[in-house]
Amino acid sequence: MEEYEPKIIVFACKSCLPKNVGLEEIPLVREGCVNHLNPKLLLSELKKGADGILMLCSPPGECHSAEEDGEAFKRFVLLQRLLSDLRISRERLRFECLKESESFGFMKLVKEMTSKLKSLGPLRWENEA
Amino acid sequence: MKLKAFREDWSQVAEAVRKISPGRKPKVALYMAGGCGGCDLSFIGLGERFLDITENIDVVLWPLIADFRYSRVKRMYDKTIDLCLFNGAVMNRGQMDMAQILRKKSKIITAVGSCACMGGIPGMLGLQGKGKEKSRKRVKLAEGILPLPEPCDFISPLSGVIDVDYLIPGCPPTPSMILKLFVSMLENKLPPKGSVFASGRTLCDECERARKGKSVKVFHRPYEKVFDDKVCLLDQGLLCMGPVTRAGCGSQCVSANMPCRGCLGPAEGILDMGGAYISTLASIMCGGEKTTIRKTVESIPSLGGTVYRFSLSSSILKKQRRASRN
Ligand code: SF4
Ligand code: SF4
Repeated sequence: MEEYEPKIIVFACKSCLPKNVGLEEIPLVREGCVNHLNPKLLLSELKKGADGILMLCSPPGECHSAEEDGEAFKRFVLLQRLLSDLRISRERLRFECLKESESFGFMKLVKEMTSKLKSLGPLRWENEA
Repeated sequence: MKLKAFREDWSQVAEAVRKISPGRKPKVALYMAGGCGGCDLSFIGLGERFLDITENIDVVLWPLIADFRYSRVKRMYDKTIDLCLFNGAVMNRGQMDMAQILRKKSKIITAVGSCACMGGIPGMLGLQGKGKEKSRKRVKLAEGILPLPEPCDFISPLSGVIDVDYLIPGCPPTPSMILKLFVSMLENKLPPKGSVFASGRTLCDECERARKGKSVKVFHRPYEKVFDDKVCLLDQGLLCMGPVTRAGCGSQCVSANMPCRGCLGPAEGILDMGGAYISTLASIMCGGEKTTIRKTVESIPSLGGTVYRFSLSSSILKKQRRASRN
């Protein structure tokens, strides 16, 4: 049997994405500041078949659109709550602050998330808790 | 204040009905699928105007009150019925069949009420997951065994089964919205297909309460304290769905100092009530430490149930492609 490869979508803006990571290594990226993330896009990605979503943001105080600091985290917590109310595991959504240059950290995150999603299995709508 | 304006508007429309006397009485069918009967009661809520209307139309089907012979409808020629008002969500095979038959027999089909428009309260079964409980095929009663209709795989708004011409959302719709449909039909002034008999703006656009923003630390349920009737309910920590909900109800709940539950469905341009409401919540919540934010979010009494109370079946995540017989 073919091994199940979870599909991860990364939401991050250009300045948080490590520059030296080849695109083929990144699952799939939607560029745009997560502080302004439209939750609709994230829900659509899940509907279209993503198994998990990674939201990346610069550490507090380093975001280039400084006044928006913290908005992303609110959206993340609210979305996690919404998903769990809809019986979708909270662990399918992850939020991390990443420094610009940390390509190592980024790949580590993706790996961690992939193994987590593998243990959860493909996203099915019914009866996830 | 709003409520008054809305009543005045209503009497104007009623006046218009009295003046119309069409040559041929339009044939009207009213059908209830998976609903509670509240929409049917909304017709009766029209009071005396109800009599004005029934004088001008010919009711060919109305299981709750008048004619319930489905076989008669089935025998009709196609497009015999001028206007069909369909309320309730489509939950079982019988209702799905009836929707398809009524589509064939009617010139115009209007989905009445939030269940027919968006899946409504029955759609919340989607929060339960599927297949936990096997549905029963029959029940035993004192009079004998009653076969139960076969449930559909998912609960669907009317537009998930057939083409729908107009929508009158609301739980239930206000009598004045229903009256407007009748008047525009009798006057031959029906709006273009796909129109919604309510406003396109949001309820907040019509609300006069004072707003503060970025201040909510904890959310409440409506019974937990007395709320100021001049200040925005959302700012006071009540989940008022006004920012994403279509206006047109006359702000009934908000004028009674209760938060809007979102029964008119998403305002124009909003695809998913939950997604849109999350942006709103993020903007009114107090920022700060991560633990504070988490605490604030945890204080929300059922986020999923509140934002999708009426629209779960048509939300991005739960929406299904058009259901068919098989
Ligand atoms: S959220 Fe509710 S109370 Fe506040 S302005 Fe909007 S409709 Fe009015
Ligand atoms: S205030 Fe909201 S819940 Fe109340 S009737 Fe109007 S749309 Fe429906």
